[in-house]
Amino acid sequence: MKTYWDVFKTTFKNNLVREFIYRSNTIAITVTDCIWLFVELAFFEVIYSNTLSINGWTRDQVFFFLGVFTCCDTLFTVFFQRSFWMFPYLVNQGDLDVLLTKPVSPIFLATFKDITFSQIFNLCLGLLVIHKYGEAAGFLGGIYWLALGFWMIVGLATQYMVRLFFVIWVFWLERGLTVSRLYYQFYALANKPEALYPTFLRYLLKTALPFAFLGNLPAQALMGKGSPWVYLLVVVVLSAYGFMLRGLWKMGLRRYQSASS
Amino acid sequence: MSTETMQRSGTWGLEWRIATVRNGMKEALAYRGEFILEMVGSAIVPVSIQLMLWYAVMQGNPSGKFAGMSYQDLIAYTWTSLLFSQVRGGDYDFSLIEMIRTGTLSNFLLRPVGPVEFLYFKSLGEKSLTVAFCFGLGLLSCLFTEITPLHLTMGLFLALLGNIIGYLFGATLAAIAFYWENAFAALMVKNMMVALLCGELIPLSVVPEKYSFVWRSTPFYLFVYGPAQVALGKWDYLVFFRETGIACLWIAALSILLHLTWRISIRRYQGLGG
Repeated sequence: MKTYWDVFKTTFKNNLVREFIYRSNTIAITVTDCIWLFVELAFFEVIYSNTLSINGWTRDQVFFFLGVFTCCDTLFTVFFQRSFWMFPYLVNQGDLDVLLTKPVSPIFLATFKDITFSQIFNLCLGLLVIHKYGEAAGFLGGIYWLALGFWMIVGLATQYMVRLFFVIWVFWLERGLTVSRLYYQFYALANKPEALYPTFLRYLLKTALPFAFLGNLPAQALMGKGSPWVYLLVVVVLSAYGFMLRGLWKMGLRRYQSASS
Repeated sequence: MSTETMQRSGTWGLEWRIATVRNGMKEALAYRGEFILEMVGSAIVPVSIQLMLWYAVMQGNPSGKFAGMSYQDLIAYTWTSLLFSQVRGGDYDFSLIEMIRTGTLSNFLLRPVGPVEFLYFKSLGEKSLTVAFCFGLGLLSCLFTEITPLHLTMGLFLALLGNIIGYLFGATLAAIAFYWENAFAALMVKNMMVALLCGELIPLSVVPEKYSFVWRSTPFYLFVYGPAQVALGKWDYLVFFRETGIACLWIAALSILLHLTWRISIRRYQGLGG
């Protein structure tokens, strides 16, 4: 564990230095994130200017959901997102070779290289939205702020596993970039309230593609609408994903043929 | 070939343009599986979300109308916009930024072909396959809906003008890369704004009147919303010709702006990359 801690510290330090050197990068990412949230809010603002509720979800509840989603999305975005973009190239160009020789898990090294500290600003934006719309949405506040921390960790684990599931096929495909990018098409299902979706899709988003763990389930839990079974569901689904990915990773490494595989 | 003919051929430069379009098509077809997966993936999910949204909205709506549109209107718009949302866009403006950032733009500066135009024709190769596919799909839908082949062709024409505007806009913004390493952020912001203001997510007619000046003052509505309105027969010929004129004006204005920004900005280019 000490080796991992040392790797974490070094990666953390290097990325922090990079962040301070490229200050304009921080500004650029911050502005982009603000606009992203603005676009999402504007989208629902337009919808709610024509209707009072969508399947029982009011405007305030949807905005609260967006705040929760933004928070739950933050940790993955900060620590892993950029590394996952580069993962297909790592395999295609054979750069994974070097990582396989290190005394640390190659998957850890491959997915934890680039930290984007500036995206911590997302968390501030999310908290601001929760604060603004929480009360009207039925957010209970108090101890439930701590529950938000728990759901952020669930969000991190979920995104890490699902994202890995989408990029791991690069071991079998000539160019895994498209499948990797397909993740973001499905990810679009995560940032809409589940009230929009038919029953089968709601189940799908809680099991095979557990994007509901990023916003829908946390928002409902924080509004006091969640069932205790939800926590069991989270454990079962994420464990199943963990086992499956472990197997896929081993099979992928067996297939890996170094450069240009 | 006489010197005059050669000069004329060089002036028009049709040969290299056709070759570039053809190469772009070949490149897209080389990875057919990925090309189809990307196209289907980028179309199916947004459309599914829209269809589910309209269903959910209408379920709790006793009047059966949403911003003056019936459920059938919303569904028709969503399916029609699907055709045109595939024609718009492309990530070639990001390629320009990458070329400036990494210094690979130097290779293009040595050639007698402008890099901005070259990339557009390359993207056109890929896009023409998409257009052909969408047109085929649209023609098929003419058999089951009220869309006529003429309206569909007019809509597609407007969408192609929108595609040119989109690229010119992106390429102009890409000139920021000569000054700033993180110009991709500007394009990301542009893409987000375009997604909202082009009518791909929602028909722009549902935007409240007091905010409608926002989408009317940009050319983005010509990418999806305009072509969809034409194909659905909501815009008559007069409006179509007016909007085509507006699109041409945008193209002219953006071409001048692109020319100026690149001419000024390229002086800062060092070709070192990194």
